[in-house]
Amino acid sequence: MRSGPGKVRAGETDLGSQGEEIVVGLSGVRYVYPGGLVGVDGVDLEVRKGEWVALVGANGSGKSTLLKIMAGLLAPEEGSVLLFGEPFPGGGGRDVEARLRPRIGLVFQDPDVQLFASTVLEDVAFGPLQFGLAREAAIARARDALKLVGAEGLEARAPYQLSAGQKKRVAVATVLSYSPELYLLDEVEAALDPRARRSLLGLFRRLHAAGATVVHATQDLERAAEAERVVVMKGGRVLAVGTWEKISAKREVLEEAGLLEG
Amino acid sequence: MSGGTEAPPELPAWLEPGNGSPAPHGGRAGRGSPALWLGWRRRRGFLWATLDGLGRLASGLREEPSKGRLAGLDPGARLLGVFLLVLGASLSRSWAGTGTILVGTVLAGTLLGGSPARYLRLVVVALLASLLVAAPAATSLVSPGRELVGLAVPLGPAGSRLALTLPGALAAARLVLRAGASVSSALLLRMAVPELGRGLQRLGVPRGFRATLELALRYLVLLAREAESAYMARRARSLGGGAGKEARRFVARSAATLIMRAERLSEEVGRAMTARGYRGDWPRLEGSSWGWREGLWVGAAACLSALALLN
Repeated sequence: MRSGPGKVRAGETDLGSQGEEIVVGLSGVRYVYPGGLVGVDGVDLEVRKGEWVALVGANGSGKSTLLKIMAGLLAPEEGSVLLFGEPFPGGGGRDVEARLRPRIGLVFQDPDVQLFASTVLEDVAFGPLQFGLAREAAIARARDALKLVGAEGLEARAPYQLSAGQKKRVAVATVLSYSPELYLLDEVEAALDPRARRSLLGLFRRLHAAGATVVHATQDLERAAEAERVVVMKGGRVLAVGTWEKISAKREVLEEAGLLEG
Repeated sequence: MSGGTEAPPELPAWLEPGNGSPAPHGGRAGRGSPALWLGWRRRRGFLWATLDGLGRLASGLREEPSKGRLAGLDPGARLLGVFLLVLGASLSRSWAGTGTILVGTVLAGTLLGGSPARYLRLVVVALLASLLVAAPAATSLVSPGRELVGLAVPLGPAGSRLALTLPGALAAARLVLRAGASVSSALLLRMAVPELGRGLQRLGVPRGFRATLELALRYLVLLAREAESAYMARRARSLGGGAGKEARRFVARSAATLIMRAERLSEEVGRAMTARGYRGDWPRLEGSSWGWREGLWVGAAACLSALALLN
């Protein structure tokens, strides 16, 4: 099962899709960081399969925290999280984790966090190897993913030797390589030149058209306008949810969220 | 929250251009004129040089793997050979043993490294420098004994001359050889670092230990760069003060910040690994490839080490 460039299909994991309608279901979610900083507070949100949702908000509004909760990396103090219909992290242990992890791909805001292996190829092949792909297949996928993001030729380089834009593209490849169903993008367009930004977002649009679900945290309202639904956040809370047409009509909400100049 | 409807605060008078720079002539008390300050910048200062050096060292540790004649060897075999040679260098006591291991490490270094000339140059410089240091020890002034060569330098009122003595020459030779072997071994070890993870894996070292070591090396570079950036940011907003007590205070303060950043980074990296399915195992992309060349290399290194120890 190999995806060549331009042929990536959403949900093409070895574990297969189970076809749930609600991909992410958050109810009354609250997360407080050690030290008392409230990350998110009372968030209710559902993301449906095949949807493109934009999370918008100023710095510190809780977008990254919410994405980590959606990825099952942070356990909320209050509220419940359902990922593909299963409570997560829940009592299901490693079996649930093994079922869900390959279906969720989180691109971190800081690529230095995402790239931890000795070489780019090793890093991009890390996910597929962890999710049980054979070595040769994992390498082939890694190479394909690098080609898709325009980072071919960087395979043997150490991640720290890359430029900021290259790191970002490789970080995206690390997630593409295991073809998750749900893409969680944390300001993926940051640190990219306009051409690379267009190309990467175009790639995610193709994946979305093929059925992938995308949650894109961004401060760029132009990008948010392309989403099917926009979630406006401030101080860890959701201020408004709706289509871009509805949200953009409520100028005061965007101003309150710190997204518009007064 | 009114959000964006408030009038922006007025600019204070001191913020108007040319109206209140705390150091309009570029020199804060203690550092003197701008020329002196620029001079300091050229000299860089101890702290800056140290941070820069650490950054370079950390980056160097993650350079691309060996490009030398032995680049095709299995990383495990390469690492084992280097380990045996370094062990020999550490444990040999006689000058003949140290000489043997020096020859062995230099040979290994020139074959393993991508730039044999650079390797040899560093070893020769180490040998010459230690020769300079050891030279007085070879004379009758420091090591009395059987004279080998008399030098035309009078020594003391009794008419005795300075001479090269046998015990002195042996002691100096041992020191020079040991310095050469140490430098050569250190360079060999340095060459082995980029492939440490792969090498240790082939040698069957537990994966938890390997992963920790690899991640430490990976993020050492990042933290070294963070320290360097913090210092650069400080320099960009200060005049002089790059040395002495103030610099030491800065190091102490930023060490705490750096530790906190390191902790945050480690948490985030842990999450990034978990997100991609990490559960303790870190499979590698290549399989093992031990053959006769690997056997020959490890055997030669073992023989040299044994010779060095037996001498």
